[in-house]
Amino acid sequence: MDKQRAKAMGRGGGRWPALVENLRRRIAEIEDGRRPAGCAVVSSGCAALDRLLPSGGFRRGSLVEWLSRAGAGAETLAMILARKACQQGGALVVIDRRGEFYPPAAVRLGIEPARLLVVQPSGGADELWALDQSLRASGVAAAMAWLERLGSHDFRRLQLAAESRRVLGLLIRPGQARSEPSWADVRLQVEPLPSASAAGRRVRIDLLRSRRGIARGTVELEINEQAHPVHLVARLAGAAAPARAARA
Amino acid sequence: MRLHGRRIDLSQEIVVLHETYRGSRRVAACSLAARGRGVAVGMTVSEAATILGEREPAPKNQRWRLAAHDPLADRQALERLGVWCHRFSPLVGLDGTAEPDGLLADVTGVARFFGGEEVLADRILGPFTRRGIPVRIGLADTVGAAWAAARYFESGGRDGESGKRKGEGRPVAIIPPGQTGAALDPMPLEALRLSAGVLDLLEQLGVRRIGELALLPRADFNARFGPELLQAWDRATGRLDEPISALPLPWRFEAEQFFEFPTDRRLALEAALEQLVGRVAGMAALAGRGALRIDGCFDCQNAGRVRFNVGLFRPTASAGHLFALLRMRLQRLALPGKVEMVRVEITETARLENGQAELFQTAASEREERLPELVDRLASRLGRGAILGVSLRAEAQPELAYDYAPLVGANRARRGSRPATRDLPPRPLRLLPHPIELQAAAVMPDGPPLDFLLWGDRQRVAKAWGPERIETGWWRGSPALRDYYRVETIAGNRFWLFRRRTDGQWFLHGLFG
Repeated sequence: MDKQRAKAMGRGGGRWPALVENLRRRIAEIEDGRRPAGCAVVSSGCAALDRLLPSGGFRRGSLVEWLSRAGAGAETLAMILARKACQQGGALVVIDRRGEFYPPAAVRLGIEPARLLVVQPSGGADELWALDQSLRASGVAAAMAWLERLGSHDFRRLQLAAESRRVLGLLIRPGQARSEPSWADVRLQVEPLPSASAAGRRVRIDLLRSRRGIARGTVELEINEQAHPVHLVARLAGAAAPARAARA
Repeated sequence: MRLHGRRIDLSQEIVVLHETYRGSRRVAACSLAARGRGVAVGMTVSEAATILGEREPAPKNQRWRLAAHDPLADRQALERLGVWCHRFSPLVGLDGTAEPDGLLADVTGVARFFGGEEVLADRILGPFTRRGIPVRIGLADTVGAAWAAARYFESGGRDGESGKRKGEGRPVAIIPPGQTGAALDPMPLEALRLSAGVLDLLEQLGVRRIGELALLPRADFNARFGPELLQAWDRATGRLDEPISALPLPWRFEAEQFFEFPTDRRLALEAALEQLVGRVAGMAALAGRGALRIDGCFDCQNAGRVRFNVGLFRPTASAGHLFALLRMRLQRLALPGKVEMVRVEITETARLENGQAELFQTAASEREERLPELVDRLASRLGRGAILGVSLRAEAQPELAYDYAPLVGANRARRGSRPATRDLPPRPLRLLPHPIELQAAAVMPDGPPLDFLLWGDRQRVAKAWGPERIETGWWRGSPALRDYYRVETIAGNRFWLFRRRTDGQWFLHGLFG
């Protein structure tokens, strides 16, 4: 009996290690909030970016914060991610208080118009409420909003709203928000890089913060706009020529 | 069967309705007062005018009126009255003549709820009199007898002792149960709703009253007068059944609640609202309808009525969903006083496609199915104009390349031809509703700018792609003549600029965020 157990443990695949693994996962879940296990992860379509994240992708039912200056490319990245999130069904809700969102550009990035729901709230309170409601709705795959100022209390509430369902919350925020506390699952900073061609924008993404660990890292990407649908390609840091991955 | 028919006539004013018959205008109908002056149906309008002492009525002259006869409008008005009369009887119909001028209602067993047939007749009479619609009510065992009683009982009932009559001017004629034959006998034959031909024939035979029909050999009736006479007679006396073709009731899903003690406690109001919504949703579900719009009001003490409404994205009969929407509406409603009464009505409905399947739904379809609830919730707080669906249009001018349409209460058949994703030109995700004027410097008058000032910073252009020349047709009113450039600054930020070709002014129009 003992011999058998020792043998099983030695192989690393017996009953006890499974139990330990199970417990470890449970603890992680408890630490993680009340999110149910097996929460799907949305891949950005770019392995380098996915690897940067502790979960190996963007988790449904969480908030992703994108910090950037105007015109840096954060919305494009978020939109590509939203498209990926919508692939298994569900709508994309864009909360557009300033009335600047331009749907044809989103459609060009691969968002289906039929899945796109644009909400134009008139004030900050309505904006937060609409985002909160969208995060709590079950027919929604992703919700996106531009939030310049976000109090810690509201942020926490949004995060709880996101955890209650499986909606991926995409928050586009100005660079100054970096000094503020974050309740988002991951906080990414997007910096533009000089590009090689019109259809090949380059960005650097810094993982500033993650709730699931102290991971930090940087990845450089090229947004390949020539391809359909538009997708992300990793660049080898320091490489002179852009390394273009073959399309899958 | 206890029935009553009603007849509308104007006894005070002289009113003549005309119709065009074989090229001449003839009197189609006239008021009692006109008839009293000698006007008869069928005479020409000029004849009637001579009798009434004037050629044509002047428009300001109130002595008599002439109007075109509109049988369809009459019928529709009568139907509206009929719908209203459903409060007295579950079965109301128009009388079966070609141009109905009365309503039939089956009040079998209904009278005792009102405290007797006399009281019921008074209850019907009251609202009509107040509205200035003179009516006569006949109540009898059969449709035919009631019809006759409403029209001919006064003349016929003078020598018949059977009819009870309270007061001289009261236009109610009730033939007690079992006395139909006796009441009908002294009435003129017109009371049987016979056609002019049959009436003429009977007149030639010297038959004037219904009772005299019994003297004729019944077996010969069909041969001599056609089936009409026998059928009408039998129906009036009850030997034959006569159905009432019921007026369809329009769908109405409404409920109201009065508060014995007016309240402004939100909790109490919400509880009342929830109950009412449950009731109307139940009614709608029973009829297979889903609510598209729900209207309600609070009657506040000394402060009038506060109305509210909620529109829906997709018809639903789910009480929980409707209540959640109304509650949100209620939370934003200012009530000026204590509420005495709450009323809720579903005012727009659509057929429920496949019920409100709340159970046994697969996960995938649930994800799609639950979206309408979000749309409704958002629209009820932000307004229906704030929740928008997108459709693309093949338009060159960027502002016109897409359409927003409210998702709530809109017809969703707006799948037009849309440009293929592949063919869409590169466009920024953020387009400024009002392009920002820029101070920019370009090397060549037709080339891209070298740098520009934006938000106080000098942006040095490293790369530029363009121009993309966009012109809009003169038919759009203010034509746009623009050369667009996609520019990348030295830092790598991308902007969408254009130069107005009329004066060379640079604008920032979009951000490639």
